[in-house]
Amino acid sequence: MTMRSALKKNTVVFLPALAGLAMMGLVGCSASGSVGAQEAEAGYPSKPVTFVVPFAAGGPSTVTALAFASCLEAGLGQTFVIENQPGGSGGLAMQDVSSAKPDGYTLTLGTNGPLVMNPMINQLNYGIEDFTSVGVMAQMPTVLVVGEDSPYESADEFFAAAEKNPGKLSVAIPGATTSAAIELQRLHEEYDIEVTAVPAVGNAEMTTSLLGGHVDALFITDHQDVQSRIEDGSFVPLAVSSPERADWYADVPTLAEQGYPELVNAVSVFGVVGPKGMPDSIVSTLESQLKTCSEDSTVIDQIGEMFVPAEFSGAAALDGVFADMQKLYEPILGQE
Amino acid sequence: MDAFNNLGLGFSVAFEPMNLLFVFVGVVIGTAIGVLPGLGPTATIALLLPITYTMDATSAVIMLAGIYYGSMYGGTITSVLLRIPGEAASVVTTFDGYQMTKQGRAGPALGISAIGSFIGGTVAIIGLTFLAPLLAQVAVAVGPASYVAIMVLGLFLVTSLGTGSTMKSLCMAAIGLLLSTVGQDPITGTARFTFGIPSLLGGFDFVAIAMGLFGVGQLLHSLERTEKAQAITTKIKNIWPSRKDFRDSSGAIARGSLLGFVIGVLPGGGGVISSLASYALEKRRAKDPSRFGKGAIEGVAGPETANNASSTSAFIPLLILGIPSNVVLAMLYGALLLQGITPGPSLIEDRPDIFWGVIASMYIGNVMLVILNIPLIGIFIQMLRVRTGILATFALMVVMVGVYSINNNPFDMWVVLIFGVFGWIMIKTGFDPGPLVLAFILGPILERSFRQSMLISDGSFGIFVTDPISATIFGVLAVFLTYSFISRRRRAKAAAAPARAGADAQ
Repeated sequence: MTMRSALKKNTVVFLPALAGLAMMGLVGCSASGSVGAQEAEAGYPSKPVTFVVPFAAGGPSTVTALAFASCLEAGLGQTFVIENQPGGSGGLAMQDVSSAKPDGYTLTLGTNGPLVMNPMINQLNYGIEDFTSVGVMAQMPTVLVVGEDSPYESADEFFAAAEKNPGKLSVAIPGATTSAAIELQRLHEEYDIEVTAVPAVGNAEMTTSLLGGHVDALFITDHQDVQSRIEDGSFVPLAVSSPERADWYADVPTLAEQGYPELVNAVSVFGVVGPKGMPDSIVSTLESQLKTCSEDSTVIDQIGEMFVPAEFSGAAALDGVFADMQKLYEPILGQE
Repeated sequence: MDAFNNLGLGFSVAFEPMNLLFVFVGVVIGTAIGVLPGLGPTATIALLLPITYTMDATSAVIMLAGIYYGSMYGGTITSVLLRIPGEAASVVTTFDGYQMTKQGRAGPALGISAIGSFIGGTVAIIGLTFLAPLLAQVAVAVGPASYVAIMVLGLFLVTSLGTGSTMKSLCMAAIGLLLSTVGQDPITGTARFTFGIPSLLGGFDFVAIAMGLFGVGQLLHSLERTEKAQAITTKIKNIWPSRKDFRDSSGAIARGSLLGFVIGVLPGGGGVISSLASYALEKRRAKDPSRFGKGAIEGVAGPETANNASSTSAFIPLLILGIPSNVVLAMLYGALLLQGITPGPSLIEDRPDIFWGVIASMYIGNVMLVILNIPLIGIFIQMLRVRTGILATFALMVVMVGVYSINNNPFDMWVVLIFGVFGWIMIKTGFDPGPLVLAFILGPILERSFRQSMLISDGSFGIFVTDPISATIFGVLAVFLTYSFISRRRRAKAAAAPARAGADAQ
């Protein structure tokens, strides 16, 4: 898909490029997009790259983007400017980037909410097909945790209680349109286990609500803050949402092991994506540098060892991840 | 005592030349962006975040914290001089501060704000030093049901604050609440009242609305007036408040310090609510409440003290619990994460240098701010000497740049302009934008907390009675409403009686 559109682009580029050889400067203006793109391809990157983050500054997305940006800068010799554009639940950022020139100088952080779910729920004129995937920076599973004084000491006990009293247990989730929300909905629809999902804003609010005993559990995106609470004992993890157990919670079962084999999708993926039709050479330059960075010890330290996948996933793999998400969310969220 | 040893460690960190420099840089930047309307601490820290990442962790946090509390000092200046609140917390300051400027008392208004801010800030730091771990436990007890009660109390204060008629205040508060419903539904995620405009999915930006209604509205209004009328306000008198000013505001400062400190600890509390509460308290206590909104110095001193106290005590939930209570602190949190430090219960033990270093730097920063501000006020007041046309144009430009910088979205600039025209119409028709803007801030928290409470309680209102904080607040509100209803009737009767007596005498 990406390949074909890139090829089409190149044939279109070819003719004006030939004609342009003689009168480069003048004609170059009208065809500047295409000629410029080819020239830029060779020396990419020759000017600063804008990296749009579709969330407000300060969250895990910004931390991830900044950590990778400084490594990419070092590797590619150009500045990567991080621009936070949180408007429209990330929809504005994605819309802007999808309509930017596919020259590799405008990139963004592609992730579950803004990239895949938002266009399904709201009227936005982009979809996953309007982007070129580059590779994965980080991924974070969602983890079901209870407080230290909780009567539920294991996932078994928790789900047994939920089954007995449908809707009685309250579980805070990071927002209404998150993969965590969808997984809880599927738990109800496919496995007939009903808990009351309480959408909150961000990890901080969720943390307070569990510490203060206002909800029974959290289905929270795993991050450094959650980890430090698990370490000091104020949170007890019951289950993780990833397909396999996480190395750092070796004793914690997956939801799949608990008897919900379908519930393996509440994993936030932070990928690098650009507008549709980015030239292959630029994608592979970025992809290989991204791979180097994902093995860089400074980057790993900043983001957290467990969140940077040990095995790097490149453009093709990321395409697959987003396509799977699309397939999964469509029947639940899709607009008629 | 332990706290003194710790503080000693803190000061030894804060007095390192490099850190001393960053306290200074922080408070200077903070004051400057506070003065420039639109460029609030949020936008500034967002811009500086990538730079801090190369700095030493302690220095970075010291600087960012300096920007935050420095902007609280700076934000006052435009609120008082131009009626443009730089950030939410200084909306309340415009009520009496701008009136004082119109009366030629801009000097004392700014002077008392700087002094109040210093005292409030210092009281809060002392509290932070000794009470932090204790208060952190109280903070988590505040759940959704308690928030509903706190927000209802806030709305109650908002409508009773208005300088005009209660009816007009109620109307404005209602419009503010309605505006706050634009955007995605907090529970289901569906779009509401967005008319297919993607920029509205996240709702209106608070800064854009406040800048429009207060700032641009006021600018348009000031352009209408003749140069001659404007000239009167440019007389500058003593900055140092008179003995009478001190006497009038000392109580307000003392109460503001305590109130601000307590409210700042609540997650989601901080700035606005503390200045609101302080203003309401002062108005209630005043012998002659009608002076409020007409340039009462207590109405400036109290809220300014309270917002500085709360911006300092807001560090308690951040550093002790790892819970940022507002956007600015969320960014500080991000800055710490970038350095590989996770703020949370273990921070005091793991990194005492950061924890106590930052606290000690706040003592130093507050001293620097008061030294910087008192003489600088004279310079800031010179702004008023500039011809209205030039000043207004310049202010409008800074507002536009500032509002764009928040979300990098040109849509917000249109919001400012459109609300600017509304603001101008409101000034002409005697509607106060204060209740609208404040209700707009409280609305989303009220809605979310209420719906979270309903989800948790399975639709039963009992949760507001079983939650101790909410029960207390609603109880007090009920008693107060009944009392004021009865006393108003009694007063009406009393007023009717002498009138009749007068009629008889004729």
